[in-house]
Amino acid sequence: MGRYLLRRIVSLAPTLVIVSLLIFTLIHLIPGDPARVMLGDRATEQDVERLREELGFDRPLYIQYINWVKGIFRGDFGRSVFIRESMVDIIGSHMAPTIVLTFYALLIAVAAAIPLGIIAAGRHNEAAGNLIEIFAMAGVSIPSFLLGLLMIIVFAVKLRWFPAAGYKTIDEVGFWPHLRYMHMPAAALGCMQAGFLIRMTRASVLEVLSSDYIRLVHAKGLDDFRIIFKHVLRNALIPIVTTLGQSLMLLLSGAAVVESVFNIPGIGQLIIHAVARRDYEIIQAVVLLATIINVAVGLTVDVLYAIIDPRVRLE
Amino acid sequence: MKSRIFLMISLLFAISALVPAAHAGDAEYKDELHSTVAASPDTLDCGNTSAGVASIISMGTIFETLSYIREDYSIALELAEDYQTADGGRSHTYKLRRGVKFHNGEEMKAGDVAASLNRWIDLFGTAANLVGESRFEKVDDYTVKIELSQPFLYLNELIATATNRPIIVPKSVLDKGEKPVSILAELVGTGPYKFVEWAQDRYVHLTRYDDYEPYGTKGDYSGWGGYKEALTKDVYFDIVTEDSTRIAGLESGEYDVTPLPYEEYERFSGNPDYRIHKSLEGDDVLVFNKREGIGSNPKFRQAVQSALNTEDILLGAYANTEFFGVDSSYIIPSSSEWYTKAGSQYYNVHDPEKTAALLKDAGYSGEPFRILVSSSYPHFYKAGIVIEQQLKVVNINVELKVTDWATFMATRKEQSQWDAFITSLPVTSFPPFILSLNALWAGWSEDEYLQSELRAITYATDKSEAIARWEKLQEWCLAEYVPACKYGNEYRLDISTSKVEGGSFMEGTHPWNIRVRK
Repeated sequence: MGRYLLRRIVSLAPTLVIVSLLIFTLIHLIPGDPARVMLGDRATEQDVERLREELGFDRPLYIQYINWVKGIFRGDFGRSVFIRESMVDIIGSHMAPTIVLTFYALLIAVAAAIPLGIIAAGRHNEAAGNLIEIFAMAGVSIPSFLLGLLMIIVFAVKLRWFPAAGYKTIDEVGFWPHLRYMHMPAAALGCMQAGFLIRMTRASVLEVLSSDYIRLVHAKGLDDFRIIFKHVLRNALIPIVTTLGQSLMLLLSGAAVVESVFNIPGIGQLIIHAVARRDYEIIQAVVLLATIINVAVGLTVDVLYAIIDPRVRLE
Repeated sequence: MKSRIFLMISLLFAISALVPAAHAGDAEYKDELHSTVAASPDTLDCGNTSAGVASIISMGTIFETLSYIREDYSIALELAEDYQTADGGRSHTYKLRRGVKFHNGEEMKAGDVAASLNRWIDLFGTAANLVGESRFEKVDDYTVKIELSQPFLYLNELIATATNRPIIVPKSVLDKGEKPVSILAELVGTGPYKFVEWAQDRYVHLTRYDDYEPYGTKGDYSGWGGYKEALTKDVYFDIVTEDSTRIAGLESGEYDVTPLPYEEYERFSGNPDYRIHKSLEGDDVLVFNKREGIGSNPKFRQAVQSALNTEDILLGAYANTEFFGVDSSYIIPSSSEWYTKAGSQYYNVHDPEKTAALLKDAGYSGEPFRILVSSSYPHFYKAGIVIEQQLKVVNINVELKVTDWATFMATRKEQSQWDAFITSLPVTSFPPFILSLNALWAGWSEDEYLQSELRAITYATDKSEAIARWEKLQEWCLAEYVPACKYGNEYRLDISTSKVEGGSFMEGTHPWNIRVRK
């Protein structure tokens, strides 16, 4: 296991070099630059050229790339032209809302999906099972931004239970008020994944339920509760855990839309604004970070496989 | 004993009933104002950007300058108490207000003002071109002066209306020399609010500056200045880019005032719980590339102008006649002494026969006419669609190039990549400030006659003669040169809840003199 982990971590280096080169080249190939955006539509060309020179965007691209890479080795991921904070602070402050939102959404999805999926499997030819199936289909079909907007109208504008939009940190208002701002966004984001997970759990549990060893434990007279939780769920969990890893990545990438609807200053908002104003340093740093997270989640799922199913050997 | 207790309880009830009654007439006000902006600002240094969102947040609140523009487009003094021109417009002297304190506690003196205005000239090409090598100098602690090589009567108008604001900041802040030098090291001004925090993608927080002394007469405020009081202690400019989220936030009571999308107007119009504020924002134009390609042919430009039905374009863009004005004048507003209808016979003619004749004269043989437009501004994009259709009807081979805003601005630099673009120009009350006539701005109106006439107007010492000259020049622009096809004036809408009292809403929401009832 240790050697496997080390090999995977070392193999990350070329991936990061290629990604850094790709993103640097691509973002600089797109027309536009920060100086032009900063000065606005009504600036003359001479004003733009002056600021470009000051900011160093007139230097050859390869020099800009080398300087950026050199900075990374010194622990300096560059400085945004627009946000005058260190890159660690910028990403850290935007990462926190996204992490809370994503994990809260995943929690909602799992908390709803596992029991509903089991019930749907256990009662697959009954009204309750069909109702859950309809709910799962609706969850999968309704886009999160639409669900978010509907929730805002119902729960914020009409009922006034939750704030319509915005975000407050735990430091500003404490844990529960902080969470109050996240209920609707997390529910909107998690609903689609809940739909996926219900269907996945149902299918997985149904498959295990029809296997010979379950028939045997039934014949031995075990009660349904013990059969489900001791024998069925453990075996049905493997595909569900795989889906959870993918769900986490989907939620992270889908968070941008929900962040936009609910005005949450997460990493999605950060990257959307950075792309819009060609804030190269932020785009580069965030994409590198996303690559690292992606690889780390993949690695974690592989390790979890081995823990849940002893037949899986990582070596 | 019992009767005494009864009497006392009755008295207490009576008093408690009276207390709220005594306060019923005194409204209680919030300590916070939440005003939203629809775009994330790229900088709050409105001295170094022409972007409107930076000005809305920081101009008049954090920063002030020597003069400002009022709602009737007249110019009034702000940090200056007196302004004199001499030597036929070559010499300009400002006497500064005494006792004005910067937010860092320093007193504003002539050294700060001269350094700030000279920074503005260095950063703002339009100002640099108008004043040449001249720079502001300190005369004494409360007087600054600039001596120009040519007469220029409109320096004060430029200071009040420039899109890059000539903000006055302490020289000590400018001297900090943080790189890049053109970006302010600290947001320190003289306004009624001081900067607290810019939480990226969330809000900009300003708080009342307790040492601020309003200028002028109480209650006399208008447009971008006047007697400004920080009636609400804390102001939050919430950054909310989604239209629907902003409006939902207003309805749920989280925001007090917000820009109103045009399509939401009908829903709120006439609702007593809200107030809608309408303000002239600028004029919408199709600017030609006069350096290269088909747009460099004046006959072709005339043909395009004669083909356009501006009312239909504006209806396509804004959907409601409340939000636009059909007007041929290059100068808006109509109250300006420079406003003229000269040349209006060439505007909004939509005459296919005339267009065909002009296209023939231009030698047009179906080459693509590439119009650059940004999808980031839906009303420009919608206008582009209508213009495309109108020009196709008269056999002009239009290609609409739709991009995001950053790409739009970068592409505009490449003169071989486009023939015209759609944008809006700021409200301008002096012809040489009109961007579409600027030789250095995109579109490059470099025609010698145009530029010599603009120079004559700029440096004229006789205003009535200059106005007569402008009338002729505008007619020539509409009839012959056609640097751009103006299709109309654009209004912006802001909406506040009925709990919001006072305030000025010229080109956006200005938070001074606003109170919000609880």
